[in-house]
Amino acid sequence: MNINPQAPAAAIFRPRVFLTGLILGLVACALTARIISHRGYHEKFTRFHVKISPEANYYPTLEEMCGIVRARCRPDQVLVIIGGNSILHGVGQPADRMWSIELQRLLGDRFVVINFAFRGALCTDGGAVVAEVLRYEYPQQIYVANAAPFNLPAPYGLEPYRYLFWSARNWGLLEDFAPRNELVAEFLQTSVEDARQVEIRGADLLDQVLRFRDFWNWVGYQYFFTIQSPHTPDFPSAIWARKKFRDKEDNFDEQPSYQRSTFASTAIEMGIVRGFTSLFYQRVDSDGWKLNPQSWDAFLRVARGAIPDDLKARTLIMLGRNSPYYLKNLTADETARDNLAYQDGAAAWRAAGYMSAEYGRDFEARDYGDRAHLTAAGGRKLAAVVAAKVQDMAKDFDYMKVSLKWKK
Amino acid sequence: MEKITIQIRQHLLSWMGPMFFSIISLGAGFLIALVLHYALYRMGLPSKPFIYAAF
Repeated sequence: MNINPQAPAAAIFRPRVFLTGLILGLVACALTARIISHRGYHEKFTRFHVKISPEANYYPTLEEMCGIVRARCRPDQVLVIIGGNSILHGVGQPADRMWSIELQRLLGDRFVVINFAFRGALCTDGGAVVAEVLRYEYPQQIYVANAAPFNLPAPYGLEPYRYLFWSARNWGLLEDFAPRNELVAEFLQTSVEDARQVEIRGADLLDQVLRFRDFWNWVGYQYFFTIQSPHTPDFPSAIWARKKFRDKEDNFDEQPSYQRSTFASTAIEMGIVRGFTSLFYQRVDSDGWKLNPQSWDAFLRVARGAIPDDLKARTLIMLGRNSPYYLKNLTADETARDNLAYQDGAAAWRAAGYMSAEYGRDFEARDYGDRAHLTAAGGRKLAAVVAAKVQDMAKDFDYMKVSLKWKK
Repeated sequence: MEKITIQIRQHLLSWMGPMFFSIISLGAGFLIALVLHYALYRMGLPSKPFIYAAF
């Protein structure tokens, strides 16, 4: 061997080859992430259960979520994306009895229902962003989410799910919608420091090229995870591939909370139930309630800017009532205000251009696991209400005219 | 025969030397790329996990 063992490091280290390896490594990671995430890698996806959610330090990426859709939805099917919060996520409903499974059963093979609702999210988070990003790829789509009457949506998303909105926006995947741009600009000006804005944009643009979020999510899901979380605090489960964890949601049916409610929690929940509508209404005379005009105006402005106009009509916002276990404690006067708020709330969403309906008016206490979340039985009732609405919308948009000729 | 074997060995070693160090450099570059890629992923994650509380 003609290499001198005493040669300096420069003779052994090849900077150009090293740089080539560095670039090749980055390109290989980025390409792998693009290909894998685009086609989807979540087998038997049910929903983003705790172990594959931000609660366990797993932040699903936009492309990963789009990949889940691509892996399941044929071009001839109507895509139904579910967004919103823990109620539509199906908290308290086991994976095989969750409401979105029932919705899929009721809608049949012409539709594909995908549950992208997250705990603590708003109707403008997660699923809403994915639906907008896939508007050309899956033009036959309906987006379903939930809200409380006159609760403001957030056009720029809510933490910890806001990163999905920033990714889509910074990658140029969202519509250029002036009313939303205005609201986002206001939000950035008042709530996000300039340095943070640069940081978010820089990280998103770097990720658009290098796809590090997609790559390491894929590694974490398929092979090994690298971050400890309160849900996986101990070794070795902390590093197990996320796919090893099954969707093990608590089952409200085994112990409904209305049977275990203490006086203290009932009192707290009653405060929330009353606050649901009292904030937005004022008394006009001895026997009537009137919505505060500023509540209507403020809601309309934000709701109009939350989702682009062409996507609003195919967005169904469900206003969910609280459990009758708590509602029965309201006075007749408070009940009248509650009823009016749901009626006005749905009208406000419609005035902003969306489809909207309420659910829960005829539900029983056993349909709820707590104040707002549904048991499997309540989920079946919700699925029936939503299925009827979705079918009507699909007919209105002529989605049903496309023949079932495409086979996967 | 022995002379030929020695010649082949010398030739291989002189050829393997630069090749070997190139592979090592390439591998090191690849490894650093992987570490850098992972660091970018970790830096983008929030320092505290999200705690969901139903209300």
